[in-house]
Amino acid sequence: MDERTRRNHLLVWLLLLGLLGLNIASSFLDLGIFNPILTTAVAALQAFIIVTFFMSMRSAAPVPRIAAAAGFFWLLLMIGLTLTDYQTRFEDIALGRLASKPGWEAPAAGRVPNPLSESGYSPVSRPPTLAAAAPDAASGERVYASVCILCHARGVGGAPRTGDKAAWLKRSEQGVDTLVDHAVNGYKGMPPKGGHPELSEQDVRNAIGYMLYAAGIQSPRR
Amino acid sequence: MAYRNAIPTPPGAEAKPAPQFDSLRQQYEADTLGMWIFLASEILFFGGLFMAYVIYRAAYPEAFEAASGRLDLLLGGINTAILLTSSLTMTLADDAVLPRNRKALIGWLAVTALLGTVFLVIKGVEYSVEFAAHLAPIFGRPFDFPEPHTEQARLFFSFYFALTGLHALHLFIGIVVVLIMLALAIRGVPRLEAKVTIAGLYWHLVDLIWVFVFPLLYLAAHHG
Ligand code: HEC
Repeated sequence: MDERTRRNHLLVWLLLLGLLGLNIASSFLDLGIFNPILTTAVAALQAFIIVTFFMSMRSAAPVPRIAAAAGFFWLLLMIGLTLTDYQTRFEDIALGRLASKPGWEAPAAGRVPNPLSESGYSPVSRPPTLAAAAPDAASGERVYASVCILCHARGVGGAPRTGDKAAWLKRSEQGVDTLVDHAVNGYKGMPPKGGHPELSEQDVRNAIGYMLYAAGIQSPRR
Repeated sequence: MAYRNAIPTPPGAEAKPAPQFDSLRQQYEADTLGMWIFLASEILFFGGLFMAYVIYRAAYPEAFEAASGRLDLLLGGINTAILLTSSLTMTLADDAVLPRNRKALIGWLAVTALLGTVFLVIKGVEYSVEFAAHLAPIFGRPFDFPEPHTEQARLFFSFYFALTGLHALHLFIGIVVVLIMLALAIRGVPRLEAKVTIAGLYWHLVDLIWVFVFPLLYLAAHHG
């Protein structure tokens, strides 16, 4: 039986066009998170059909099969490892660099811009110590990296994400003093001082300044 | 009957393997193995770009949705259908080689190259519209996008031009390869089966890559 008949080719082609139509149609529906999942799944199905029929993987010998499978296997490996990495360090993307974590020597840590402070910069951070969240003169970046990062890096519980300009613009419209008030005294899902009562109001203000800077907001409303 | 099904080589058949191979089947396996190793590297090459795009899209969903909405869904959809169709015609050309159906081979190769060219022309139209609308953050051109998504939209369009530009380059190479096959077929050169099959594998991969480029870039927005 010859599987490569003209009729089979036409059926495969019609199937591919049908899937394309399905994909386009799905973008007109609001399925929330399922929109990208559906379109990617349909694309993967199309790719599978192209590889199986047009690229004749069905009748390929074992060794070319292994070569092709290796390509897709490495691709999945790359996607899997990259996603696990980025899912755990969102703020790195937002800032385009590694944020200094407590206990780590920050590379070339120097002047951290802070739109809320007089000089335009947060005070230079002291050499990092393992005692996390040591308050006082800690710069906004250090407070952020030891406390706020927990929720704000990935938007836990609806927290505005670090680097998400749209979200922070909306928040900052209330004025910075309101933000500080909310962060110090708590506001909906936002615990008072991020759950660290040892922080001073200035620490919290610095941390907010840092997150505004990270979101690219230069001169927020007071 | 197709090259790949010629096991073992029928005695006295016109299709004989190249001297270094025992059978057509062995020759076919060697050809496709080499090609698939190259294609696997291509998959990883584009896969890295897709990966980077997906990460930023997950980071800035609203901005990427807004930016994706500025792409021309109609032209993109038509282009996808054109490319899928060109894979069909390439397959038909492949199937015409061994039966020595020269007319069909020439015809399908020509149609394939033509469809690829139409794709590039449509892509060019899209590019020119986007350049005029200041949506192309390349070559130092002005970029306009409403706040607050300006910077993230610049990122989206950088991905857009990188992905579609690299894909267009691959497609252009594919068209040149198909045109070479066409010239060989017109001159009646024998032993085209391996060449056409390999050219076909490359062509289908370029199609396969677009099958992901299209939903990632064009369908990131809601159109309802
Ligand atoms: C336990 C998780 C958590 C931690 C830790 C945390 N936040 Fe929040 N934060 C939230 C959530 C959730 C919201 C969103 C509240 C809402 O509007 O629903 C929020 C909102 C905010 C807001 C916006 C409030 C407004 O008025 O819109 C600011 C400012 C803020 N956080 C600052 C901080 C700072 C500074 C720190 C570190 C000292 C911090 N957060 C630590 C969860 C957290």
